[in-house]
Amino acid sequence: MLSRLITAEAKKILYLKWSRIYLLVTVLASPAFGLLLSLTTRMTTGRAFVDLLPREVLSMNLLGVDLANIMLIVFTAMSISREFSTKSIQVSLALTPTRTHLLTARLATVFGLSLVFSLITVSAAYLVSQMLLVAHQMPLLGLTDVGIARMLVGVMVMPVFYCVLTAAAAFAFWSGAGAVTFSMRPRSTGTGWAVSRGYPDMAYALHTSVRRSQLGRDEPA
Amino acid sequence: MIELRNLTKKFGQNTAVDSLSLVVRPGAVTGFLGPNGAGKSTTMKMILGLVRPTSGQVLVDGVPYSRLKDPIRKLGALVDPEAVNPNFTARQHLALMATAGGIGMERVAHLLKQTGLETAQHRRIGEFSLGMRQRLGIAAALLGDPETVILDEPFNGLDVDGIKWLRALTKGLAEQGKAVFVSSHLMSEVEAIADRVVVLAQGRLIADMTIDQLMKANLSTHVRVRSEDDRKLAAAVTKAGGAVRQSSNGTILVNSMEMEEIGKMAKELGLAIFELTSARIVGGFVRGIDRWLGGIPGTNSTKRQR
Repeated sequence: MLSRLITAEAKKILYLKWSRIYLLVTVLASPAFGLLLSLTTRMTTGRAFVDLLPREVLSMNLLGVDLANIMLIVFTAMSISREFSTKSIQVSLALTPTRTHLLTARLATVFGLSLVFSLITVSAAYLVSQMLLVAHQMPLLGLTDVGIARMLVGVMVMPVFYCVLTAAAAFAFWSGAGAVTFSMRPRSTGTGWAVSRGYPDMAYALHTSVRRSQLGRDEPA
Repeated sequence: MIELRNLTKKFGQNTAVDSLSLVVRPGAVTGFLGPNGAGKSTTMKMILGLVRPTSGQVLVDGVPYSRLKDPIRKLGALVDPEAVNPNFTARQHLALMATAGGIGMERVAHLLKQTGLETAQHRRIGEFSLGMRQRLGIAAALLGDPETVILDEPFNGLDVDGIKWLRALTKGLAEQGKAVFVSSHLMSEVEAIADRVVVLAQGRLIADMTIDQLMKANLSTHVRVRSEDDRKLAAAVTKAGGAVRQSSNGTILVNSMEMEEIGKMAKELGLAIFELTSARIVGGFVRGIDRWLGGIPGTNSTKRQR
């Protein structure tokens, strides 16, 4: 039963042309944004690329994942709220009268979709970072480095967390704007908490606008 | 089979449905009549669990809808033809429902053909007319080949061929042993298909009877007469127990009397008859309900007439 509902929910997303285009743009925009930031460090930070630490190169590229995260949050909110605005939720509820089944299927679909996107975008960010480091004959980042692995996993978890939170909020509020506002709020409060408690990687994951220099000071590469 | 037990729905101070009890039986088309705002759609939404009743209970085959194991095969419904994502095509809309309900795509293809949407199956629903959306909604309602079919105002937007098709379809479903529950504000439509009618006004059940019983109860019919001497005929009809009114176009309207009786009476009086028709129209239906309730303030019964 649940697998059928999840399949239907996934089809609901993929049937629409604009959804496919939006998701494709999200996947491509993420590494492109990271790459752009990496290549403009002199302009944005006043430091040459070669002056950056390898870890800083990665964190810069991971900003692209944050962009993808925001795009996915908006996509999730729009996808669910559209059902309420078109009243097509009536069809879903008539088909699945047990609300918990419908909500579970929807959250599971969002979880799966955001996990796949998270894996792709984080992997892309890591690969782009490695390629840039090779190109500039800088030391490579090793996945065996606990700090690096923790950062990658933390960044990977965040889009999944926020998208599921957004989906639940959209379902509860019947509003895409309300869901986006609700799910964005923990980012700022969570970042402050993580920084104050000295968890830089978590802070980074929660909100990548935290100064990279601060990350560097807390945990040198 | 659907069973409504003392079903009540209140929206603030407004009572949309008031202690409604009825049974929709299999093997028959049950017409659900009432003017706009009578509570028909709210009742149907309560059956589907889309609206929570203030009190009372709805049972589908003995259990609440929300507890049905495989709802798509038990109950199919068309409640609002506009309640679809306009960006999907007709085929995609049905395919999504079929996937969720564990139904094969061959059933989707069959229903697209049956509802006349085969050629339009790859068009966006947003481009559909109301009639096409109604057909799509009917296809969706029949997707699981359910034992009970609920159709809310299914005739709205259908052309003449569509109306004929839907009449044949609903009768056919009842002949297959399914319970068919069709709402309408037009007596003429329900009369053509229903075995039984349930009349609702201001949320209250005012009649639950067979079509023949309803006609005899004179809720909805009147006979329009134009004769050589209407005044003389009216007097005779009144004396025989008929209720006579003067219509705006100069004819007389007779209630509580069969057409044959009026014809014989005119013959006995030696009057030539120029017009003698049984009019079972929405006006008569609403007037019938008005009489029952002593008038319905704010009723706008002609708003949705085609």
